Amino acid sequence: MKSMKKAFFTLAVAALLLSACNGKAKKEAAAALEAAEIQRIDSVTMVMENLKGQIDFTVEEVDQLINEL
Amino acid sequence: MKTMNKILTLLLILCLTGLFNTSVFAQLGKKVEEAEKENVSKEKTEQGGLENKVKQAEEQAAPAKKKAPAQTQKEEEVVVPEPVKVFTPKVIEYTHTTSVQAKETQLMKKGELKATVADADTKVLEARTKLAAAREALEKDKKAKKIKEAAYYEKLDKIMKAEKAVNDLELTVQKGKELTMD
Repeated sequence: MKSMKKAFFTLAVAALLLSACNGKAKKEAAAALEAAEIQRIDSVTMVMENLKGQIDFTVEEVDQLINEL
Repeated sequence: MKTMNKILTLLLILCLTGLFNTSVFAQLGKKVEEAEKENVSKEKTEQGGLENKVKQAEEQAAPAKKKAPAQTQKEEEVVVPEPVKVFTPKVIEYTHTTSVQAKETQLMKKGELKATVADADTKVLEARTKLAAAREALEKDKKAKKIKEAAYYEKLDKIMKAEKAVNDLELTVQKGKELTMD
């Protein structure tokens, strides 16, 4: 009976430790996923912003060339 | 005793589930790392491509000197290549802490790009009309011999340059349309 109690106690501690580790791992995985998502969105935003700049630049160029005609 | 056994079995199941979950999270972490690495390598290749384009444009801007090395002093003084303006994309760093913030910024930039694309689209149409009219007038002048050949070719060159710029603008507008399309 005593050894049973010991085993029970050890298992309970192990279960607690595992659940704690799982919680931490979950949080870390969620943070990494969030960071990757932010990076993905930001890279698309940067492409958009640069494209807008390029359009503005080319419009200016076209205006200048047409005025020179 | 039976209850004890049941509890022990339950705890064992809990432990096993925990172990399984830990391995799953480890795998997930690896996947995320791989995705990040892929993103970084993609950005690098994109930047490399852009740098190459800029280099090409710079080379195009000053080809005369490279192709003709044996020039006299006088010619060197006369031929001054105009620096060609080239659009250089910027590397923008955002300070978003959440994906919601990042999405909000993206929405805002998307709206701005949409407006710019619409304006540029109108500009393309206007420019095409003006260029067609200019070309027609030039051909008429040539036929009526109102214009000298040198002047004709000079104006034709200008028109062709403008047409090239309009084509470039149209391509960029097309890219913008694809990017803002939902």
